[in-house]
Amino acid sequence: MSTRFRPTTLTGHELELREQVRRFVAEEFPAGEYLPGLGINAEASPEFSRKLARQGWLGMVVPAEYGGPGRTAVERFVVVEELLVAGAPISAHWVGDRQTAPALLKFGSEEQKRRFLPAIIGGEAWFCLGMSEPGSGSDLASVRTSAVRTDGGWVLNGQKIWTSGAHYADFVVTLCRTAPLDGVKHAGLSQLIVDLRSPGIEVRPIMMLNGFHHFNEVFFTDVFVPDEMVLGAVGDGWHQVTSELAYERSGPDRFLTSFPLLRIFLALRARRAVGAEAEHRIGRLVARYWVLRQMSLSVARSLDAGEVPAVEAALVKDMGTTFEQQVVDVVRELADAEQRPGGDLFDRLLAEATITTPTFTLRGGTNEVLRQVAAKSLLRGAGRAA
Amino acid sequence: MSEEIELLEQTLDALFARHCGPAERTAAAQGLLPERLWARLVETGLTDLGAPDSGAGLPELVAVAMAVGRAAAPVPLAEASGLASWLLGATGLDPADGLLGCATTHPDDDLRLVGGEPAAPVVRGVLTRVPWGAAAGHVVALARSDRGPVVVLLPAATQVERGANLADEPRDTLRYADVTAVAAAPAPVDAAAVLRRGALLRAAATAGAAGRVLELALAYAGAREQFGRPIATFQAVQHHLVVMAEEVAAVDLAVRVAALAGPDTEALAVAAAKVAAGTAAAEVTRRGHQVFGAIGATIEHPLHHYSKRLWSWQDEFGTDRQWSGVIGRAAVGAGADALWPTVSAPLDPAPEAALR
Repeated sequence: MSTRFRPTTLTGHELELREQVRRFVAEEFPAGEYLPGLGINAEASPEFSRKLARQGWLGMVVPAEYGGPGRTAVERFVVVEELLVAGAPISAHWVGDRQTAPALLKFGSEEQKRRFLPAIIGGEAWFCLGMSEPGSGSDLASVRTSAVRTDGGWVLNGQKIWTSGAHYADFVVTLCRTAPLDGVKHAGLSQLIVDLRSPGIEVRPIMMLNGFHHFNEVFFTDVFVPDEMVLGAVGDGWHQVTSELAYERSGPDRFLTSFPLLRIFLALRARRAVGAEAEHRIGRLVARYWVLRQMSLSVARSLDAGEVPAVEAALVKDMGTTFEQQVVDVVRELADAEQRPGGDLFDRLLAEATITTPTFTLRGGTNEVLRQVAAKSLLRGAGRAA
Repeated sequence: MSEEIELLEQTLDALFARHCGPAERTAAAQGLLPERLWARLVETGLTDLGAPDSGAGLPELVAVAMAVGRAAAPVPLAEASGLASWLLGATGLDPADGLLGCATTHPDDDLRLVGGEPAAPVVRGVLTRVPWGAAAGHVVALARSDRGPVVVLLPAATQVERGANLADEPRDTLRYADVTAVAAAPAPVDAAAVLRRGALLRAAATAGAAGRVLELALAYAGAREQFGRPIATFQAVQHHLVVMAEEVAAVDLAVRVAALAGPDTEALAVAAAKVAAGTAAAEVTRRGHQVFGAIGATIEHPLHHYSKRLWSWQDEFGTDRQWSGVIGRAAVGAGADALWPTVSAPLDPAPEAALR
């Protein structure tokens, strides 16, 4: 076998944490009243994110020396999956919690850790990722936003696009070129933590096809970024962004996005779930949820063991996001009726799910490119085995 | 994975590598048991690994079935160790000599007690598509009786209708017209439990065979050149390879998880593993053949040993559609609020092996 997913399950202590989260979620989102959000497309609610902070559920992996609870990747998995299943509004803290906190722990300076980690844990600072550019989508290493040396820091110029949450975030972690391109495009890139209130920054909204404001364009014109805001080593940006991918790719957010739709279908359209054909189709979905969750949990356990399950994480993301779309298709077919965006809870959620499905297999890199990356690793592994 | 299981896998892989040649395949295609290979398996104690005194559990039996799949081994080892010796052992009855066959709780099975002594009842009826049924010296089966299901150890059938699956693995229908059983005991498990175990073993064999097809396809795609470059450099081919790897990983993990599941999660875990096996069989055969092109569809090429088994196994011990129906019926019956607790149920009790 060229990949390795080991069976695992939640321990007694992890199950206790889950019970706490379930009680919290049940109080926050009484069944039947709340229109669930769909994964990380859910609304941003700084107020809700701060409630989670008070529970100790933001920046969970941050150790005690930086004010965190020092929890594991699996414990974070436990909290995140319960929030996704409820359709909780998790967008405000999402990037800081999933991406920036682990990146700071791994690459950040002592000063950066002391400054930003407590803010992430406390729900006091929101982060976003300045990655894609108009000319750099899947081919991320081709970014042209550049920073040039100046006294005490860098002068940043360029443009980012598809920047989730830049309209409310405090900082944008920006991948940019800090050395001219000399043939090797993966060299000369760096990550800067840019204060979105700096002079020279303009944020423009991009409205999505559901009318939501989630993404933005961010323009940098001679923005000064002090030296102490360089994340990690100058020139090491490519290595840094790619090393975070196992965290980013395999989490429950990659297969649970449309779960609330199936749950509400069963609750409000029970008569459409009757009969052998419907049971067979629902059974296939439940079976897939079971297996994908075991795979995703297995990756989290590997991360806690200090492994880097990069290919495994890529496979989970490709399978999981494709499956999230299938769930919407199956539920729509079983519902077997015209869509009514202004109807009941189920109608509204199905409408929302239908028009957001295209993004499931795009965000964080298209599945096509992901497969190309995964294939290269599989082929390298096979070459070694031969 | 424990070191014992790793050792077991290595032993089996080595044994099959040495003893699974053209001669064995020819014998098996004629419904004959490959004698030398089987004798080696009996000698090493692998054929009755499921007996209670062997100390082996489901994880070991699943490892055996996976190895059978990896080698496309033409022997009923998974059935003998995982079903026959387990079922007989659970009743405390003595094992029989020679190949011990096991009925599969096929939907067309109909076997009942019609008289005789409790320890040696007379049975009548039919056992459908029994793996290597004609070659078996004895057959273990569940029979219906007024006092509930009974495990019977039957002599070789005299009325045999030979059959096979797509891979030429014998699937023989056996008729018993008032035959006295060699031994019998009240069944410690019901037909559903036997079916579940058979389904898990087939899913395990599927994981093994599908994993082997993936290995072959990766090696071939890396070596075969067209338009001056390996076909593995074409994105369309890469996508086939990745989806194959995904489905192999899914069924492999699903099977290992199901082998560790306790009473509360066993039903879903096994059914999900069989559904995953069906998906893997479909994707891996279709995409695997596409990667190999025309050469993979010839009798000389080894691919068909795997693809024919995958096509057969996906429907044995319940089709994946039947198993998804079982899951769906339970999920719909339990209702919306039970959906997530079902999907996220922990393995119970948390197995030591799963937490390392």
